[in-house]
Amino acid sequence: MASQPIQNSGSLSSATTTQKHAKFAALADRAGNFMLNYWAHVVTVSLGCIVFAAIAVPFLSYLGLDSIAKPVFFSLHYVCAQIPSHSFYVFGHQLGLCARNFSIYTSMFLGSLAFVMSKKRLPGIPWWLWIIMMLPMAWDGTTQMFGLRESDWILRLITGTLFGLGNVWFALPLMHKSIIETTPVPPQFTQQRLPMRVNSR
Amino acid sequence: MSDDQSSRPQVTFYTKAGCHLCEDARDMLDELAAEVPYDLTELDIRSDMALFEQYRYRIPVIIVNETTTVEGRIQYSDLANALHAV
Repeated sequence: MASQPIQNSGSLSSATTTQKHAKFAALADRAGNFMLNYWAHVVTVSLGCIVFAAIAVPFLSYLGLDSIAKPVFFSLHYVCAQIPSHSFYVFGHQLGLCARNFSIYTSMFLGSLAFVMSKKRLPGIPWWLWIIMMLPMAWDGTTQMFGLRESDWILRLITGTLFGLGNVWFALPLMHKSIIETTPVPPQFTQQRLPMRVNSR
Repeated sequence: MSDDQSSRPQVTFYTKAGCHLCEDARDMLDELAAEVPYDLTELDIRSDMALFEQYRYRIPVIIVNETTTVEGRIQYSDLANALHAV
């Protein structure tokens, strides 16, 4: 008799654990479904945030809001070297990203925005065109890195834009295609089999 | 001026208010002052039009003894090497 309440509490705790597991599974399922439907939106918003932060830095500095501008500027160092002589300036203040990275992220943001606005119908480019679009930046960056020549802001802007556009134009439609091909069709869209009616005389 | 003071590295620091990299470089200079004593001349490039034109897209610029220059996104090790080399 004395062991009965203990057994009850054990089954109670296991029921609670199962309930928690089920809740977690449901949450993970919803998060997975959200990402399946809105992954391109998430990519676009993330890129937009980087571009917006980079543009916001000089404006914040100009307005005297250095306490906000400084952490934003230094957090962007994770994605950019921020070399002053390679950067754009607004109101005499350096943008959060260098010219090349700014053009890369902006073109990627605009490209992914166009992809989202087209309801993911924008056709992708073949792999060889993607390579061709990357080559100018590879040439510009490599020759500068080895001290063979010095690039300028126009070249950084053009080659960075080609690189960024090429990336999203190639990758996003390809990702969309592979998601469509691997996602199982929801049960409500599958054809239901009706029971066969047999006429017997 | 004593011999000790005259042998100190002469550091010229070109900066500008609102320059985030300059604030970072200034902190490094302060930290290194404990290791290598130096004489610092800090110049706001906006005080001179010629300086402004020369350094506006390069600051922070630190010149040690008018020979070694470290600029832009300055690494602590580069600045320490420049000061220790004197």
